[in-house]
Amino acid sequence: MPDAPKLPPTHDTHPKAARVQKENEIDHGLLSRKLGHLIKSIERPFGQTVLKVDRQHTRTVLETLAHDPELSFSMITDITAVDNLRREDFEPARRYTVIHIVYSLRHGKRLRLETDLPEHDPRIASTAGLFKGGPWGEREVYDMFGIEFTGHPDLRRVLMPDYYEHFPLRKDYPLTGLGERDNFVRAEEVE
Amino acid sequence: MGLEQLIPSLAGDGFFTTQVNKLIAWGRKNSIWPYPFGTACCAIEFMATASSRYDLARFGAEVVRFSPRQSDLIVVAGRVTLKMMPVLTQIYSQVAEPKWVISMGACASTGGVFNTYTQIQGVDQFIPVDVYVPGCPPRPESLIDGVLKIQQIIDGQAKRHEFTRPSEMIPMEAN
Repeated sequence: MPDAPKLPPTHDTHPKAARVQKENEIDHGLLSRKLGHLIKSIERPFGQTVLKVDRQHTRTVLETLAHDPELSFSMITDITAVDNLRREDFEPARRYTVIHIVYSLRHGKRLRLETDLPEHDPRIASTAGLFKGGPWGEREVYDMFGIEFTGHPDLRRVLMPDYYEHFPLRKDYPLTGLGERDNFVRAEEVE
Repeated sequence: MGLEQLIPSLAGDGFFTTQVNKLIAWGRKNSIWPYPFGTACCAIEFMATASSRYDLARFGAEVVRFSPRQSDLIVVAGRVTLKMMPVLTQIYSQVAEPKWVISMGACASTGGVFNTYTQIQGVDQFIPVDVYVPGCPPRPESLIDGVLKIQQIIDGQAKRHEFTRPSEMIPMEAN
């Protein structure tokens, strides 16, 4: 009988998978002891640790995560957002979800924070002064989703031109735009 | 330049007669100075075309200029976005007359696979284009063929802006 074909490594058989798995193994008892009164819930989708937070507590939770020596999640990997408009269980009270991904260089652990924002008032506290890289990600989220970060030192568009009127990654904005790309002055040759 | 074969009288008596505009065109077509407006992978193919293996110098177009004021030919190589289109228009207007434009690759010519809010669906909507080079990205041989077509245009053997979109043409319906 011939040998079974050698398959490429997958997410759980890859040599680095054990390291990634170790990154995600976080003591939930420690988290709920330190932050229990501030967070809504701790979830474990795909083995990752996710903290669900109300937006008035997001900044406090991030400060605790960054400064507590037992946690010391001092590095912000990314700040991004999701528009929940097309979900089956959509409700306007949680139209957007802002996601902070933090990493602990001291302990080698990774953690995700999810904050739901309502449709009529997409506003959340900035991480300015806490993480040096935070305001850059926030500018991008503002540019694409129109989420306002209060306390941000310089909340301007970063990818789209300054005159742009819409927030293109919102689900109610068409993929091909509203004609901005066809609206330029034509340069003619002078002969 | 093989001038003796082209003009037999030059080999004999040492002089020949022609028209001034033909002489100028002959000089221009063999010394095109391209300006690479490279924004994506097509620019990598342009570099390959200009360097030794494909050797654009064989056609007199090896002096790549990064100032529009010193060049004759703009090669639009790559995606042009909302933010980049005014830059391209300004650079086009800075090139001294006479000038020629190659739209290199699918993205510059039609937008390619990027049918999105920020991607210009063909630079020929906003600047006149002489030659379109197909491909994603085009092979260096294709770009060389495009430069040879530009030489034919300079020579008067081919028409200019033959396929440029007219300004009153309505853009494709968004879907």
